[in-house]
Amino acid sequence: MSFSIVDRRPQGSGSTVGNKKRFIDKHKERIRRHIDEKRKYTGIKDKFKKVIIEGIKGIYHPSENIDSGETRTVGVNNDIYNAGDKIRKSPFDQLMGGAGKDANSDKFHEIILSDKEFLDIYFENWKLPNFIKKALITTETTYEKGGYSTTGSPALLDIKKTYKNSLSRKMALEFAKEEEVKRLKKEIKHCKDNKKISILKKELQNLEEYMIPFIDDKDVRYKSKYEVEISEKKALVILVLDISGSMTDSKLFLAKKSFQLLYWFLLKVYKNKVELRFIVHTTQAKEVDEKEFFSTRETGGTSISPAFVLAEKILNEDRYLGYNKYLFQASDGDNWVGDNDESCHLLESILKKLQYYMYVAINIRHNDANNFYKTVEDNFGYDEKVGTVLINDESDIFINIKELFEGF
Amino acid sequence: MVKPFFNSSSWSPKDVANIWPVIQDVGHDLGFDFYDAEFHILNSDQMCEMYANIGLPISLPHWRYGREYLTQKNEYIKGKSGLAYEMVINTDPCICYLMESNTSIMTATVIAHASCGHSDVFKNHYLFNKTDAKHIVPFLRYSREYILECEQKYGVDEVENTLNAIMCWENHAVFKTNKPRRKTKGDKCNEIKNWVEEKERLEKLRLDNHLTAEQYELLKLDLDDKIKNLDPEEINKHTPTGYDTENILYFVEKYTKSLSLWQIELVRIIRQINQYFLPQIQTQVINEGWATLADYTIMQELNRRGYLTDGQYVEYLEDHSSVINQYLHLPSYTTVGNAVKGVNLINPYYLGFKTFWELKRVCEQPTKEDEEMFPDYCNTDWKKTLRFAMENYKDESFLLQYFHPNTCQEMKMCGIYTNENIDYYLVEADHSREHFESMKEFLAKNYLSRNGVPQIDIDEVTKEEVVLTIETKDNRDINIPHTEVALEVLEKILLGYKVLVRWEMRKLSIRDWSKLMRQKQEVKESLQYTVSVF
Repeated sequence: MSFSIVDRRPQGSGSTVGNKKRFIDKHKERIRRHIDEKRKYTGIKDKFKKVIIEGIKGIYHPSENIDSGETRTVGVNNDIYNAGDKIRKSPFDQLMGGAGKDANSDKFHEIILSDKEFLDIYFENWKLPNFIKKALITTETTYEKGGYSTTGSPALLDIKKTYKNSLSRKMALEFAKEEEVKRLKKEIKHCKDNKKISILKKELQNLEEYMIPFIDDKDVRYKSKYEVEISEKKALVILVLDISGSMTDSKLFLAKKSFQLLYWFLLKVYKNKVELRFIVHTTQAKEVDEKEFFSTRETGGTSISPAFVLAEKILNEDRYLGYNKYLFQASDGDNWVGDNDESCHLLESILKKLQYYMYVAINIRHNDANNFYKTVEDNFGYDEKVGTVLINDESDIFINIKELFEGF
Repeated sequence: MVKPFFNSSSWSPKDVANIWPVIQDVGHDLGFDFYDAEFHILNSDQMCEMYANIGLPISLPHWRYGREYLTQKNEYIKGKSGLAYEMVINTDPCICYLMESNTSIMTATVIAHASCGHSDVFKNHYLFNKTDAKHIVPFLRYSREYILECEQKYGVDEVENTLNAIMCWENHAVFKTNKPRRKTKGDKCNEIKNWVEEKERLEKLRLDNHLTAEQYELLKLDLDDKIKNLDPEEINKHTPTGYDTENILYFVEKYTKSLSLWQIELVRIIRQINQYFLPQIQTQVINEGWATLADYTIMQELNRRGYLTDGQYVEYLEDHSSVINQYLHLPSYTTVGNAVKGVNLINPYYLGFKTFWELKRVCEQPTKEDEEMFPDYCNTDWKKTLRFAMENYKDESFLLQYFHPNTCQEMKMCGIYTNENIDYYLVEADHSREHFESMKEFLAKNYLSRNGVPQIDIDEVTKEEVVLTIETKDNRDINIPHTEVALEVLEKILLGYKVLVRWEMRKLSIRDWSKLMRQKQEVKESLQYTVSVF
């Protein structure tokens, strides 16, 4: 007897993805509402991914109430009672439905969303601004080998394919020729008219002398190439954070929360295609990695231009040639006196390379004329590539940033 | 020289290829007869998905399978339920799912259990013979593609609404018995018509003098008796349905006026799937008992022949004893206390295995009591007797026939009865020899039919009306909201017919019926009294 073994582990899970998606789509409104409530807690914790759905309208079977009427159950391991004994019911006994549990009539149902599904709905309509435009301008293509064509130079002749074609043509024609010969011979046999016989015999002779050619023009094939678009969009995002002394604990908290939001957004939408660089600055700028970015804190004065210098250095690196570049900055606007002009200059030159620049201003003091926020607004307020966000409170973060991103 | 199969507790697909031919031979030697095998190896996430599809490799595109997958996964993550070690389905060749996280001995056990034991039942049991094992997977593939095609043509929402409506009645979509259970009025009228024709034929024979006067009178009396309830108007009003009173979806399929062709096809698909699953619900104890017996005897034989070392055999015995665990080591008040709340504590593996094992002992070494109780099976060939027991019974008839008082005593069974009007639980039967017969009947009733599903039959069918009768078992109350919604859904499906419910000689519309039921329940609640004994 035969048997077969199928190893399905490499296939991965996901054969019921379609059905699971249908179930979630059905209750999308409810899930959306649940996620909206969780937005006021910035940061994404695991417990937010649990959604409780009530009142499922789905399939109703005609059924009986199990806790009514008579019930008969079989117990085991009974050392105590004899037949005919009576056991007192306690008021705390609740009948648990056994075999008749109808899953369809559950009053509520708990779903745990996966990361991807949660983020999909969390960032429902968001896109990085001006992302597509650049990719459209420069579509790069390469050529890959493959396929055949009927014209070409002799160096590209594909012998195998040509020979195959010629063989098949020859076989077909020989077969046809044989049949013709047979037919003619039959006719000659049954024919009585002498004139006709001679004509037919001539035909037969011509046919038998005819040689089928070995290679025909139509058989020939040449190797060819075809164009392939490089469709990968790549982005580089630089995050700049001010960790000087003027940023108190609460401001730093808000700044980090807003960056966390942006970080999640970039991870979700442009998963493998975004490179992130982190810059942290007081009076001097230095590049750090993700962990340090979200956890360090220093004291000292503030000056923004070193950060821009470092950013420009990163932007000029060779390997970021075809990328879309973005710069997101957060600070409270305090800046060293006289630094604002230089920062503006640097920003101007940087902006030419960027797709978008966003400035998150946290708890600024409006009386201060020296505020960086005001400089940005004054000089670049009408620029398409610049966006600014004012944040005073935790609940503002999501709303204001959402406004910027949703429009695209 | 025979080498042991395994060196360590990890295994690979190659090991499976090595051991399956050996297990096959051993199985055939011991008398098992099974389908060819196909093994699928899964990880635990994929196993959760298989649960949601009830083991079949293809699922219909519907959201309820997504929901069942989510529930199962949640419970597994929280630890509320464990995953089964094995899953096997009724196809030819028999597909068996192996989990990669099992040890190697467990894998060998699973292979023996599923591909020899369960496969045997699927191949030879009288109920499973009626299901089409070869064609279920292509059928599912076809139905899945059909539904996706319909979605493209007619829209996702419409198809989903149709499927929701049809699935409301899936518990009433199977043919359970060969003989008709009841006759609708239309069928009775049809029979009466036949008898009228018979009477005319008799008169003709009389005129031609083929019958004497006495014979004619006798036969005429008999027929007159049957025809006397004839109402000539009613005969033409009722349509005969051919005795399919329980299978409501079948009625919908054949007599609908308003469903389009693709919807009728969907009804047929759901009906076939439920008909396919029906035997598995009715034979749980037999299935698990036979499979445990298979792996017990096969592993013993493998150890004897040298394919398993003694240490590995001991490990198998540990696993075996945990599978057939019946919690007999727990204190009495826990188990009885749970039973009193309605939790079903009986392990079908234990019950099935012990019943078969006791039967084997009766065949080989009967005691005096066995000769009185089971005279047919003493001193017979145990393989033949056990095979006969496996092939020809359902769960409750199997238990009524073969359950042995020794097993009853080992499990210390008791039967507990209560109803909503009394404030005590009555122990109706215990595990002594005097009450054995009533205990056996009590146990068998447990496996009789599905709890919570009322009995709905079609009573009368005319050109404009369909009359149903709804009965519950054990004096239970109907769950009014659900049943009402389901009946309204039925009315939507059978557009053109009015759906009525029969109640004590009256025919009520759905709304009136639900009102009446609600009144009755309110009266019942207000009059709630308890008989106190203490």
